[in-house]
Amino acid sequence: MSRTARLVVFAVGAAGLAAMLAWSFAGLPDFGVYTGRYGRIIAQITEPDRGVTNAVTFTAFDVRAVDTMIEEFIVFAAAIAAVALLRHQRGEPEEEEHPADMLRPKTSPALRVVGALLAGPTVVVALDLVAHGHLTPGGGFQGGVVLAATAVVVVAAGGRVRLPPDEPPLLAEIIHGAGAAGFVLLGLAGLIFSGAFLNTTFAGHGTTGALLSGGAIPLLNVATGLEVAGAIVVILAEFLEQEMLAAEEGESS
Amino acid sequence: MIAVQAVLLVLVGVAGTLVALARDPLRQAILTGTFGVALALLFFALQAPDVALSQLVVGAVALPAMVLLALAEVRSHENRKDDE
Repeated sequence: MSRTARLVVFAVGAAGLAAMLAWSFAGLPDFGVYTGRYGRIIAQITEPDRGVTNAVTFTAFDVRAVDTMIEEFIVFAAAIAAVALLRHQRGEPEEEEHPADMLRPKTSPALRVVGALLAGPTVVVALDLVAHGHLTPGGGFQGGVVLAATAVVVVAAGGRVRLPPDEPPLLAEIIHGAGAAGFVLLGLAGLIFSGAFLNTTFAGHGTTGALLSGGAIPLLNVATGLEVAGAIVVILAEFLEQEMLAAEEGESS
Repeated sequence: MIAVQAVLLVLVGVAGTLVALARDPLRQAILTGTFGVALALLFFALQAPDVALSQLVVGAVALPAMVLLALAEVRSHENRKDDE
């Protein structure tokens, strides 16, 4: 096909796309105008029905809790896949001795100071996000990622990253499995005690606005937080491990 | 409020364009983080703090970190191949 012919085909396609886009943009609701009914219903029943003040968490962990569970499984599967792929790549365990407490190449003092200062507050923010997910913006997912980010901060500042050869970051894997299992078990508890899978009312409402309120929603948040934090640490640890191995081989050769 | 939203909307557009125009993957990863922060600020200005938080942790922290690690991984592989 000649250049001219290709340009003609492109021009026709682009003109068609532009026309369709203009047509569909003209039919969009105005900026910031919400016409759906679902959101209004959710906003009305969130507080009276569950004693929860964050409608987003109520939607994610109650109305559409099955959705959230499947999303959790996606993160779970992603972590397992990363481990399976990268560990396979690592191949046979090396015979050489690796001291378990080997440190990364020295990082700059500035980075270490910033890392040390950030690590504590980051953990607090993460726990706050998870614990108050049903009251204020936040939740298990966001808190979990922030918790995992703490690990990244520590590693970036020069903490220990060397894993024993062929051994998974065991604690992170246990946490990530426990989180996924916890979510399903809480769902089953809903099935047993209130007659529907992931029905969160079995734990009682509590006082609206209290830390322990909103039925099983805070518990689901904790389970999600553990799952997500564990999964991301597992994934990052596998990547870092790979990088460390490569760097070492580079140095020795 | 509308002015803030307009400014942030433009900022998101600019940041997104920069990500698309960057050719070097490393630069792209860093720009993705900037784009993520801009998008999170826009969500916040549009009164969606929950979505803003998710965007912040995923778009500005987790995604660039994973891309950077993947790049480091690819580069170390290339280095190893060069050595052999």
